[in-house]
Amino acid sequence: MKKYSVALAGNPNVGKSTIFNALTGLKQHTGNWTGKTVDCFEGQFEENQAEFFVTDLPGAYSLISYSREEAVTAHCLRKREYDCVILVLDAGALERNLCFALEVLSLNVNAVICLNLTDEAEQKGIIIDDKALSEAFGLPVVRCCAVKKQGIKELKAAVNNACEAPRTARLDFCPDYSDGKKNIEIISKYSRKLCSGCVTVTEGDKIKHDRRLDRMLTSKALGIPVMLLLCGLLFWITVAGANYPSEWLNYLFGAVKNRLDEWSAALSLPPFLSGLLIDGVYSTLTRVIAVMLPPMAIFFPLFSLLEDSGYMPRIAFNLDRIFSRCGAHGKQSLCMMMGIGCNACGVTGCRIIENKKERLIAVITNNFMPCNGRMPILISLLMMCFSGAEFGFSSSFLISFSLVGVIACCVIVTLLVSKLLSALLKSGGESGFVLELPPFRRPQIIKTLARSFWDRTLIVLGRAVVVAAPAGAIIWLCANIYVGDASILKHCTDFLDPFGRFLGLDGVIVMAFILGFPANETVIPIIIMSYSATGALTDFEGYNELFSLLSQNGWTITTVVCMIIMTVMHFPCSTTCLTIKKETGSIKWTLLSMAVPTVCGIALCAVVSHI
Amino acid sequence: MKNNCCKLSELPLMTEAAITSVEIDNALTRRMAQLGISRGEMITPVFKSPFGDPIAYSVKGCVVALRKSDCEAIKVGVEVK
Repeated sequence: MKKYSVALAGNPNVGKSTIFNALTGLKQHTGNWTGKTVDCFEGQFEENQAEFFVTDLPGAYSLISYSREEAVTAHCLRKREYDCVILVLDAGALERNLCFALEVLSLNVNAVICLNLTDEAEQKGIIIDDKALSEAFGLPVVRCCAVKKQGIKELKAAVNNACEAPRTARLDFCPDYSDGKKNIEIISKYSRKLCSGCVTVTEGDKIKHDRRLDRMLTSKALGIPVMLLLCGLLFWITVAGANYPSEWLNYLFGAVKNRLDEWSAALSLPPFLSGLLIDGVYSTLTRVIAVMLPPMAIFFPLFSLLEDSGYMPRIAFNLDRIFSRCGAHGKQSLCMMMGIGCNACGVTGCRIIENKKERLIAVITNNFMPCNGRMPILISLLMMCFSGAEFGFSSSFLISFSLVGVIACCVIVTLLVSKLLSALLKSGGESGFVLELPPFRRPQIIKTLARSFWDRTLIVLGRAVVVAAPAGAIIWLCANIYVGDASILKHCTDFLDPFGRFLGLDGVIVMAFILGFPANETVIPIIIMSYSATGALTDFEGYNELFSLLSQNGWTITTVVCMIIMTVMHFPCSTTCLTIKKETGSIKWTLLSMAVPTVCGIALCAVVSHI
Repeated sequence: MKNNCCKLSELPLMTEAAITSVEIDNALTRRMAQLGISRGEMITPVFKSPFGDPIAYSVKGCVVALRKSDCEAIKVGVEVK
């Protein structure tokens, strides 16, 4: 079978990843904002008895790269190792998109032009004569609407033809490589000339609607309140929706545990083995799932909707002024939002920040955003604070607004630390804020919700199996192997206890954070297990039981507050640390990224606990 | 006839203007040029952020946000009838 390699290239946010998914059947994440894809992704498809290996390159505005993810694209295209390049163009902004296409075509690559987002262009009142465009270049032009899977078959056929009979574009302009600025002007002019021959603009409502919405979302009066309100709404749905499934899961897992206990008794398993497997591995695993899964499976699908709509870059736009005052970059807010998903992703996402110093600041402070693994800890802590005896409608509001408050504090800390770092670090060259604000797009609600739901479920379950199960075994062993008159766990927590008390916490909590280094998801289960192993054996069946278990172990409101502070401010998890090492290429910055939040957390806790 | 006295950052909202010159050549202005902000292009400021800076401009059919301080070097001319 013949094998061809194909690359998808184009401006950021023109739907390359959506086309990639439609071609290969894979499920690469997409979002309506510049810089969602910062790495190459690979997949394959078959067509006409040939195999095509597709690379989804990060979006770029030019081959003369400005940011790091663009450098990847420029490097890959310059090597010219692809049999065919699919140049994806946004039909609604053809003139701008053609500039990059012309740069790529002047490398004499074999290319197919794909006009994507044709439906959106029509709404904008833009009509493109694709035949004229095809004739102007001497290249095949395929019209696509990737979200509706229109034109994908034609695109596959065109790629197949292009690979079998390679040809290069006819270009009637002389690039001037000696002068970068002049070259851009030449290309820009040629692109305008090409467009005048094949683009007709009529009156479209889409632009008017977008402007009206933009003026509201970025207005002085409404911009920030709408942002906070959306954030609050997101958390409220999460908090209100997550409580019940959490209880059902606890109930289900509890019932299964009783059955397991019966079976192990019937099989007369040695107590050591049944303890290790049931009380250690099984309990930790199921607690992680019950606490983590419901909030995450609700929060992230909703978050993806927001991401698909195009609201994210508006947040960066609204907040840039504040960030620039702190010596940081408005795009840092995009990395922070990615960090709410996973700090490792957030750190990788920092590639979109061009300036080295600002990027470093964004990497180091990313951990102040509570990730996937820590958000549910915050939610459970706040639930314990506010729900009291009964979880109800009013308490769900209180919890979600205090969660917004906690996140707002995280943002303030991020800004303060950014300001401090910006004063301390040496300059990383010129800075600047150039951010494209994409058109608003109606998300594909059902599809996005369903996919994001399954993605999250799989991630949480996968992490639970990989990290929580071994952690459960280790903790159980520590709690049940005795050295002298106390268990190893007791020795450790007693050793850490004075330090913990100083921070308004106790030895068990400090121990849980240390053991939670591979994954923060395990912090709460470790605390529960340590308390139940050393003190009264309470079965954890819900937030109320958790609350009574913790208050039996001397938790006060100060403990909860300090715990919240420590949850947000301590060293990043191991995966994030490895990612920081990879992205910065330096042990020094990795260690600093671990030290900065930990020191902040310890200092703040010490202050709070001594008030 | 073109009036060549206005900085891009001083252009009132919803006023279309032609970019007459970009006086600095560095990585940032080249990046802007790649996004269509170069000599001879038409540009319109469309909305401001809540703090008045950055400002979003419509250029080449796209909306691009720029900080005021970054477009000091860009001069525009408004058509005067």
